[in-house]
Amino acid sequence: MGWRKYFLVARLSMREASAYRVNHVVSFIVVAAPLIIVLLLWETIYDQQQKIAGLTRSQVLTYFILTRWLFELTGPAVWWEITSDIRDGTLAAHLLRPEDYQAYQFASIIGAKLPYAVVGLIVIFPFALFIGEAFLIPDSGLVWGGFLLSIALAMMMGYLFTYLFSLTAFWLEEGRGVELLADIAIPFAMGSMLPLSFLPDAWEKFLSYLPFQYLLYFPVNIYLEKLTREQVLLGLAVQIIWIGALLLINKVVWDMGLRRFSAVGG
Amino acid sequence: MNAAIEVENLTKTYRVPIRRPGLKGAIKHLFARQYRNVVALDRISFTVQQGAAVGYLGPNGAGKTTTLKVLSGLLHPDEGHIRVLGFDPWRHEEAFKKRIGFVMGQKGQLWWDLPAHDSFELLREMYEIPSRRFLSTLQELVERFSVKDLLYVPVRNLSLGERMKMELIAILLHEPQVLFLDEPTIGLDVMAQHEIRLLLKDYQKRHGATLLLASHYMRDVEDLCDRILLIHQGNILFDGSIDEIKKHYVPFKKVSFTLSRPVESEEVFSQWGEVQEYSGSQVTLTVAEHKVTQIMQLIVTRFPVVGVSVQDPSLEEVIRVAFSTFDNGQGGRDGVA
Repeated sequence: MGWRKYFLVARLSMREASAYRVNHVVSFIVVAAPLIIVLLLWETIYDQQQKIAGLTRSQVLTYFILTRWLFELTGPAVWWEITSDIRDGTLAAHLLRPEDYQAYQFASIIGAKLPYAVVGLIVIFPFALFIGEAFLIPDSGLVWGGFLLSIALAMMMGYLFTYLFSLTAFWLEEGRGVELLADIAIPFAMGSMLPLSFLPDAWEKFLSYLPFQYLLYFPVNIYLEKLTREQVLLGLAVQIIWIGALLLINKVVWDMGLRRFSAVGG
Repeated sequence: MNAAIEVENLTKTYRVPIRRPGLKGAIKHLFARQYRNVVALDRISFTVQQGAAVGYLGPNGAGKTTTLKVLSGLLHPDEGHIRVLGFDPWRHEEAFKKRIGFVMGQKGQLWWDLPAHDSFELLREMYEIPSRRFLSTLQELVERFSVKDLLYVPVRNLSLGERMKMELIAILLHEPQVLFLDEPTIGLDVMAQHEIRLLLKDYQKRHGATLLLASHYMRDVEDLCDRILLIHQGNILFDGSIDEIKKHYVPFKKVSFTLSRPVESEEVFSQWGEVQEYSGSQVTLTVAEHKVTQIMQLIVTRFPVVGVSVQDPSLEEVIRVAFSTFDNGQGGRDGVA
């Protein structure tokens, strides 16, 4: 198996994405701008109390800055490149080459997201300065290690969801429904609007059974040192199990989709 | 010579859902789907020798694209025995993928925002083409295609014709032995069409590649192919050379005379053949093939002829006749004569 071709795909995709640097900066600023309001709002709320649902003021402010950045890396989406390949038939060109399409798109998406993440860091930095010393930075190497590892796994998971959502194009002429799901319900379940511990118990419990918190809530909780070592290890294991499960699900859906793709004749 | 493509009793049926109009129909469709079977290919058989160029002609929906898709491994055949270079396409072996190429109209594999050279580098990795080989093949192709100066220009800045050439290079880089072409010149202007044809012909000759070409443009077929398969409603109607197909379906020639002074009436000519054009001093007749020499002599002796030309019917006319004879009662030669 040649991995080199996929590294090259990631590199090309990165190059392509870098061509749109300015565009990235602008879109990240647009995405991040409301953050200032969120931060001011929580500053005010914390005037009245020390802790809410176990989180201090610093932790909450850091939480919102960090999740805003990380979301761009791990959040699932309906990926236009995949859906258009399927809908206009360009997928055939991929099938004819010595290539694994899932690996190809993984490399391509990671390559496209990395420059965006770097731009994101630059845009997010002033926000960290804005809240000053309230921005927490862990000093334990172990915490950093767990955090980075969980991000890597979350990116895998996020990609596998992206791929799964995009494969619906085999059946759906038009994917607004799936897009709404990916854009609104899932970010909520990931913890991008509120830390999940702020939710009513029933909700928190329900969402804890879903895989989406492992895309965002879990890595950030490692960073904020809210978890014991056992909880971190367990969480990482759950991420790995989900990756395995998604690989299987995607394989089944892909095979079904291909059968469907071939049925549309010419 | 060995057979590059062997097809025996290939059958392919699509299951197409039947949808009734209206909300009621949509709901019904959700719960009890009904399908009808559409036979795309009905037990077709043919063989293509290595190095041959075969034109695959038929109206829309005749099964051309389906055949190419089955042969390249994109579709699973319902029945039949298929071998391409000895491989079973449906097994998707890498060794097979490395030996074939499929040109699909305007569907491309180049990265839009990057120079074509980057896409070529990626193909080198995918097809595991040795570096030296890659360099020499690429050099040769860009020179013959005269796109050397465009290698480092982002693809989005190329014209459609230039882009098609780059797409073609992308498919030829790994030097496929069998090329499937589905409307390779669609959407191009006449000059670009001509150029693409020359380049394909050139590649085929130099590499002894086998070519199976489905196209609506007769010029594509006439310029590139030495053999034609006529396909209609999933059946092969005819298999032979361009000359043979002309003789088979339209055993006529067009004979034109220019006269030094006008003839009063066209009726004198109708005893020899159907008058197609008449303008006093210019007459065009369709004449049965075996009578051409005899009739020309007759006319030359009886009229003041200053110019003569004999033309084959165009392939387009032949194809039209072929399909209409088929539709009007499955007839072959009888339907025409």
